[in-house]
Amino acid sequence: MLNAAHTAVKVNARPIVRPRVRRRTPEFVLALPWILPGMLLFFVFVHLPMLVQVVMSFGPDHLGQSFVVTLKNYSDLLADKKFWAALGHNLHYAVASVIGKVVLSFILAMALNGAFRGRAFFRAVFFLPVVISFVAIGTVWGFMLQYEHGAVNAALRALGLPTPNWLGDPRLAMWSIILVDIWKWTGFHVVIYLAGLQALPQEVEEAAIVDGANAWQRVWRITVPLMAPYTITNTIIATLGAFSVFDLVFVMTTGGPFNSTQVAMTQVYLNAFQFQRFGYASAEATVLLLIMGVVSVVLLRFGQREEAR
Amino acid sequence: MSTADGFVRNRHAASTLPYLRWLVLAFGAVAIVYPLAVFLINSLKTDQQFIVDPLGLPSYWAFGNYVTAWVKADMGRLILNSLFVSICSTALAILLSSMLAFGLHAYRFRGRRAVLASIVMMITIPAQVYIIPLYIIVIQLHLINTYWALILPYAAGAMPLAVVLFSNYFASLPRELMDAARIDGASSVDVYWRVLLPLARPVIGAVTIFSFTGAWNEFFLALVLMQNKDVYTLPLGMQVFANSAYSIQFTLLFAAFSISMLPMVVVYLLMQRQFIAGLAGGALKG
Repeated sequence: MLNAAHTAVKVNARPIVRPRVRRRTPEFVLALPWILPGMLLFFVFVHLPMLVQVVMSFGPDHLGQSFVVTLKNYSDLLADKKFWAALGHNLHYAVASVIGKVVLSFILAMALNGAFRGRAFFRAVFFLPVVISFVAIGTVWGFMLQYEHGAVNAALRALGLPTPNWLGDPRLAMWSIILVDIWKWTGFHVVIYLAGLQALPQEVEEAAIVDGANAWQRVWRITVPLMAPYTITNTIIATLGAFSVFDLVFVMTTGGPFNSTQVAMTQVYLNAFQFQRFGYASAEATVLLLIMGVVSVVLLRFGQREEAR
Repeated sequence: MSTADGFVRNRHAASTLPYLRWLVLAFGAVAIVYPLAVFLINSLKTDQQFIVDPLGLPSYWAFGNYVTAWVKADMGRLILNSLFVSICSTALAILLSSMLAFGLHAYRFRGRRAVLASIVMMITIPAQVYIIPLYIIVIQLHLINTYWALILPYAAGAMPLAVVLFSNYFASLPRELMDAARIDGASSVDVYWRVLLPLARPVIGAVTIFSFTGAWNEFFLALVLMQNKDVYTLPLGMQVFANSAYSIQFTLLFAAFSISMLPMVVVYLLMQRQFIAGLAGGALKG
């Protein structure tokens, strides 16, 4: 329809807008100057590195060695306990941070929903950590959780409670980092949920009240199911973040204590830029890329099915 | 369940819910603000005061920490570097994305969907997962340790979402708008620059915010691609400072990090509505 209308206008326009040039130059050529600069930048800095990375993962370990196709990087990877442990930490991070962020942000969004004084203020406060860099947040919380002088332990000591070594105890360090990540991003997910809550049809809620459903039933049976698409959006974002996490770990623990907070990206960084094992690190990064691709496709499909229901 | 029972419960719920709401909101706000406030207050203490009492107010306000931190961490330079990189990458992302979206919108040709898809499908993949070849490409192009080593990848990284936003916006405008301009004899450059771009101001605003904030806070690419103190960005410079000889002068570090957070926090507080829309809006549309 639109196309037909478009051509009709064009026919009318022909005598006015340089007819010959228009007829001879294909649309593709006319579009080139507009799309080429962007495509070139994107190709050189996104598509090309992704392709090169896959190629490198089948190549030699060090730069400058002659290129021979080999599966050695991948066979090394299968046997590398450190890498699988790191991916396990990513999985732990993903599950814990997704649950934490989704549950907390849902509760806060429910509390923020509706028109009342102070709503904009609280929303702005919750969102504040989103605009602060991971480096700064990692440092702020690094000192909050510091064993000897940290504010958290100072408060616990004042209350006569035990003072854990939040970042120095291998059983606790990962949980501490996850907690900080939840702290940073919950406000972001609150805003996503708020958008969903505002799009909620009012009639359903009113009908439920008339039918005598109590507040708890209304939340559990109506709001939660209707919010499913937003829950999926929040889950996708939080999961992808959990698999690509680097900054917070690097700033707070650099993978320690005893490698208890090593994640896939810290392994890639160490192998590539500390040990110069570029081929091997490329294989690691390619596996990570694959995981992230699969995660986003699976969750997006799931989201589409939810929406279709 | 009887209706009467339902009504009683509802009235009960209606009376406790507002208190519950304020309790939840207050708890959340304190959890967010308290760590930042403690950090800020400690930046105004001397080291001894901090070690003796990390929770209390300073007995002597050590404003000198800020002067010392500014000088020792070379913060003026870091801020200017970050500002330059963020502004350039944002401007580039806006220009190239809007041009690309315009090209795909104004001209009909085979493969335009494929062009769009090849860019948009990368929306969930952060640049850090292909950092190794990126590092090699940046070296090959002789960009290592220059601002362009960050400006170009940051701009490319902002493109998928920016192209989606511009494309959707152009598609939402009435087709007659362009045709009318064409009939009036406007060239395609005129249509882009004088008709569509001014109308796309809301999108430009959103892209500016997420692209600038992303570039301003980015750490990993800077860590790998910037190996010279002169071109360090703010997050990288702060991380290096925190691990330098000053790492044991706690309150000096606090002051330096407080300065580093201040510009973004102030701009955010002044424009929080636009920031929330710009940073979270993309996730809702994508």
